[in-house]
Amino acid sequence: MIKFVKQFISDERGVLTPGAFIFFLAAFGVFGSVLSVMYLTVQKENLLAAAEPAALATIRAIHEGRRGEPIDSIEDAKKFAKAAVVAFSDGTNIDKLMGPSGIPDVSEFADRVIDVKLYPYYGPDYETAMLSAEPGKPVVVDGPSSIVPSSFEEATELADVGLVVIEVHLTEARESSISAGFYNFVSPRKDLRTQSMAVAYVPSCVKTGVYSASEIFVKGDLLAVGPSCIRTDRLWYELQGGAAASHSFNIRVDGEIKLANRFPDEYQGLMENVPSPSDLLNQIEISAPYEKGLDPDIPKDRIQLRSWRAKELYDFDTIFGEFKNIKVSTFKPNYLNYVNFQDSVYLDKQIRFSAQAPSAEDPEQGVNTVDPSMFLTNATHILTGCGTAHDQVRMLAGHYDHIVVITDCRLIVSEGATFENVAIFTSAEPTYVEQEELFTDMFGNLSKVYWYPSIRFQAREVGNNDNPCNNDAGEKRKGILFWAGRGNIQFEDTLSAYNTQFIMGSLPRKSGTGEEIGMEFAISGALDGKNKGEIVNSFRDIVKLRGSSITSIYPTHFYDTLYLEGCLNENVTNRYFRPYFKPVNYVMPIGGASY
Amino acid sequence: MTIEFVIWFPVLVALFIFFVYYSQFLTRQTLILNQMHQVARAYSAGFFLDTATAKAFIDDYLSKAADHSESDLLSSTVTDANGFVMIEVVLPILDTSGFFRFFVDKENGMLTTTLQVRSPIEGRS
Repeated sequence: MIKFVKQFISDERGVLTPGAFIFFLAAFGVFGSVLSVMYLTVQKENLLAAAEPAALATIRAIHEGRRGEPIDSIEDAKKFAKAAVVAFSDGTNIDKLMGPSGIPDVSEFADRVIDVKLYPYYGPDYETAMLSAEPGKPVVVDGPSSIVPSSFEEATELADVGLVVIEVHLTEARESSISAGFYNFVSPRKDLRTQSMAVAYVPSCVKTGVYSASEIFVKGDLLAVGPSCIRTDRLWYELQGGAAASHSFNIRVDGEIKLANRFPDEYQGLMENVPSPSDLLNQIEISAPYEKGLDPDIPKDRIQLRSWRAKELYDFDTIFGEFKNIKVSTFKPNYLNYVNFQDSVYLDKQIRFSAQAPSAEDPEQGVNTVDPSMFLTNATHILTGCGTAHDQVRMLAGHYDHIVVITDCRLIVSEGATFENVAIFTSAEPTYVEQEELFTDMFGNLSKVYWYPSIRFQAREVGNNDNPCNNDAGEKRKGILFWAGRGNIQFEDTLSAYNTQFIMGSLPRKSGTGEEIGMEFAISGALDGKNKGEIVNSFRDIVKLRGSSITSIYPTHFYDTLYLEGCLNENVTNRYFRPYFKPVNYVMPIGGASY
Repeated sequence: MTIEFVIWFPVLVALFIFFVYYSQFLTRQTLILNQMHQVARAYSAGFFLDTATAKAFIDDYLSKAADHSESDLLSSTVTDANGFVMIEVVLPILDTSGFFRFFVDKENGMLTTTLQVRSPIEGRS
């Protein structure tokens, strides 16, 4: 054998073989590395595609449970997040993950390479930075380069969690891998570690704006400044008859449309051409499922074609029932007093009383009345004793503050009535009386019926202009909520609303499971039922919504100018919002981001 | 010209072409996965009204980005069920209708791979 090798070397035949061997080895090494890097790129993309929905599923499960089953602790939430990454990456166990049974276990390997952090929601500062971050690129890191301050610590209470961060440490998982090292060296993304985030938030545009599941009509001008929006989900025409009727519309504005972003305070007073971060954001959103039916004068760069979900509409019955039965958990205004008993929260003070019948001299016979002196501060009131004339109760002029009222009566809010930290719920449906002849109603429409809405507003101001963005800390925080759960609100004069939320209508949940019925079916049913879409929210005169919102399933008509003034960092204390969720590296819609 | 060159050079060139092709395929696969991911995310936030619109968006991208975009086997499915959106794309990899036909897939003449992306739909519970 040795002799054969010596002969092979000395005769120099096959001299290319060792050279070819070495060359092939190098070539295969290079080719293999290239393929390996490409393969790891696909792996990273797959990880991102699993980690991000897992983060979204986790933040939602923390706040809304897993099909009715709550997540009980921070540890369970982290376990859920890891199981979600695995479930989304291989497509198995998703039903089990979201179902009512126990959270699936993950392998020891997955447990080691998946890291979950749960932070309290910090605010829009880092969110803006994260919006522009490359998907998967770590933005929450240890050290000075992190955009999250060092004092930013993980949440200790589940209710505080507003940001879920899921990291998958694939580099560490491939500890001795040459290809992983090579990837980290040559890849433009530098690192196989992926980081995905999802946040819980209250969209700025539902803090100030108008949402209607049906049409929105503005007869005068539409003026908007700062984060605000007009949204419609008007699908019901399509659902009932296929295509929308030719005369129908989503959003129509007869007057001028003027929309402007709001600059942060530090940019106020500077020259107009100074670039501002807020220039990059589209603060005012006008959105509908289709462009068809939108007013052609609406600037195209403000339009977002999307469907929306007004989550709050599903909770009327729950909140109404909780206040009625003294036990409170869904909506807890900070001006009421609560007591804890056996892990449940109960109202400290609840008062039941009846509205007063009018005196014989009162010109408005059949309408019972209440005045501020009949209410007890920081208490919940169950108001009964509706008047004989269409079940109406008039709230007389005066200052109503720090109260919750629930009633089955139709309400008339008198001119001169003012409000501060108030939540008023009525389950009264609107009704009407047919007239013998056509007449022109107060909104200028020819009508054959006279309507008695769920709430009739004659007051001109709700809330006050003191701290209109409600961003002062402490006891000054305030919020007003009017919720007509079975009907509409009519405004008979001008309206200036501050830190106020009007909700008209509600949507049902499935009996037994409590699941929310699909929005389109619920809206279609609500509008098509006995009312045939004739219930309308009407605003007779100029409407100014300053840090205030209107959420309705009914058509909403403004017969004069609608002015929206949004706040950059508005506090929504004492108003009712359910958190919304989104991945942080968000898809930028056409026209920029508005959320 | 040596016998080594005659034998090995074509093999080396073939391997080189294969590596380039496969590397390019993986890059395209990454881009397509990213697009599927973006669409699933947008669907989950309500930017697509229905599955048909989302599918049309994906199909448009596939027609530009996928290899063998003319193949009947290239397909996408968008499913909205149980609170999740799932996007599945069947991606042709290699046309085996020629020499490889006898070894691989006599029926379709094409090797395929399937990509899947899922996302919870924020619009519903």
